[in-house]
Amino acid sequence: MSDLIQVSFTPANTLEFPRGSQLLLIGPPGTVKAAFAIRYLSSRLKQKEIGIYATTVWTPKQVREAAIRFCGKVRAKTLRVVDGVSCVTSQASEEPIAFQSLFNLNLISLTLLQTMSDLENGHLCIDSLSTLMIYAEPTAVLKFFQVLSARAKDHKITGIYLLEEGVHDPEIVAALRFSADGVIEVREVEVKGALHHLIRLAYVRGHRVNNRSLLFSENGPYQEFNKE
Amino acid sequence: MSTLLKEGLPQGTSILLVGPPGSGKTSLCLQLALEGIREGCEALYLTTESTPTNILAHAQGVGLFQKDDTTGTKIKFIDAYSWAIGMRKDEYAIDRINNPSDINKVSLVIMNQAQILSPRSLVIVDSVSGLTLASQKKERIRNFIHVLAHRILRQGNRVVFVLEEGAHDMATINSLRSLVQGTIFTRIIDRDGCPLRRELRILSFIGASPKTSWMEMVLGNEGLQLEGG
Ligand SMILES: Nc1ncnc2c1ncn2[C@@H]1O[C@H](COP(=O)(O)OP(=O)(O)OP(=O)(O)O)[C@@H](O)[C@H]1O
Ligand SMILES: [Mg+2]
Repeated sequence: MSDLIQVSFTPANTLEFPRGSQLLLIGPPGTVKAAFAIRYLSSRLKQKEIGIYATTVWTPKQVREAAIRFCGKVRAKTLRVVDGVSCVTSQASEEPIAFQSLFNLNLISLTLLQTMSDLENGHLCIDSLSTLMIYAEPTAVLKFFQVLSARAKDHKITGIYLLEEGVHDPEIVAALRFSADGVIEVREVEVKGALHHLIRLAYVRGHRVNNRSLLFSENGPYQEFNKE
Repeated sequence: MSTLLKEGLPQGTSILLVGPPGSGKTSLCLQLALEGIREGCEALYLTTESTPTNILAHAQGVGLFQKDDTTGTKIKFIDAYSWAIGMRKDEYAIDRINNPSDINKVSLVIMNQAQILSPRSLVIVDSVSGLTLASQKKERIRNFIHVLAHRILRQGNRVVFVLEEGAHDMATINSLRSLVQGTIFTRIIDRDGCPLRRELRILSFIGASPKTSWMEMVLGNEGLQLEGG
């Protein structure tokens, strides 16, 4: 197997990251990160793998609907959505898996560990570390990230952790980067008045990666980006 | 172009509306509220910048609705303006907020009113900046938006939070953007010798792919409409 990671679009529309790598998905605010993460999970669901998506901004229903759009109803059933939304409003969740409170990182950690305890080779998305930092001290979130990502790696679960750019203390971002295996970057570019989003795998420790930028679109395939 | 509400804002979403003073944020919100009501939905409108009576008079004055149209009076206003300047309760206000800087209380008042809205209604907070200028802690503002957005979404409604661009630093605006599902930016273009142009740009709704280019907001016979893109 080559150590050159394919970030490019395969015929099956599948992005591949090294198994068990723990990646930060960093980019400006907005929801392209979420859309990217759900789309990534969906592409893995299509390969009959299992995905976990913990959400604090999109409602579980919206996450499922997006997944269904990307990979169809049947496959979307293998998506485990962790509801981090109802606890925000202190309402009971309609989901089987939910956080009790965003203030208690230990409980959040426990819920996630339970959710992935039977998995081997799955995929985990945390949307987002930034939201958690509103409710807990950034240093506590760093610790949370270290614990969770270590366990995910143990299970060979690929982890994608969303982080907003231009919001947090640079020191904490640096510490998170240092603790992660790699970084996926999202960038906004304006072409002829319209805004586009570029995604690239910046690096993964211990791997040689193909880090050219790809144009992200919610509907079509990823494309090479050229400025025209 | 068909209605802004249908074109621009998917059902059940939370939106931040960010722009400089005078760029048409309030006009846009009113247009959205009116469109919603015309389609049989309700609109709850919290205002910090003027009385409901003045807002309606202004809206009619610029042509958002015609003289004999009573749609405007169906907007359910929460008045977070009058009390602060010692005025009596406005006749179009269904509720009022005495101390806009008490964000917990504000949240409660909005929730109480939002709870009894019919599904698919629109809730507008114009503006969050007006509520928080009295040096609220940033964490409190974030929590206010996160909680309120999800309560309203849970009921199947939409919510728009208005933010004055100049009143907050970029990090604050960014962190608030990360708590909602989409952002609309407005801007004014002032070129020598040309009439002012007001434009908007819609960003990032999952599943929907709105045009991301700037579109002009034009006040015409049928209220505010979008052109170009
Ligand atoms: N598309 C438009 N074309 C022409 N005039 C407009 C347009 N939109 C708004 N206006 C006018 O510009 C003025 C400011 O608009 P509006 O109050 O909606 O802006 P705002 O962004 O809410 O301002 P503020 O920051 O003061 O709250 C109003 O007098 C309004 O009538
Ligand atoms: Mg205004």
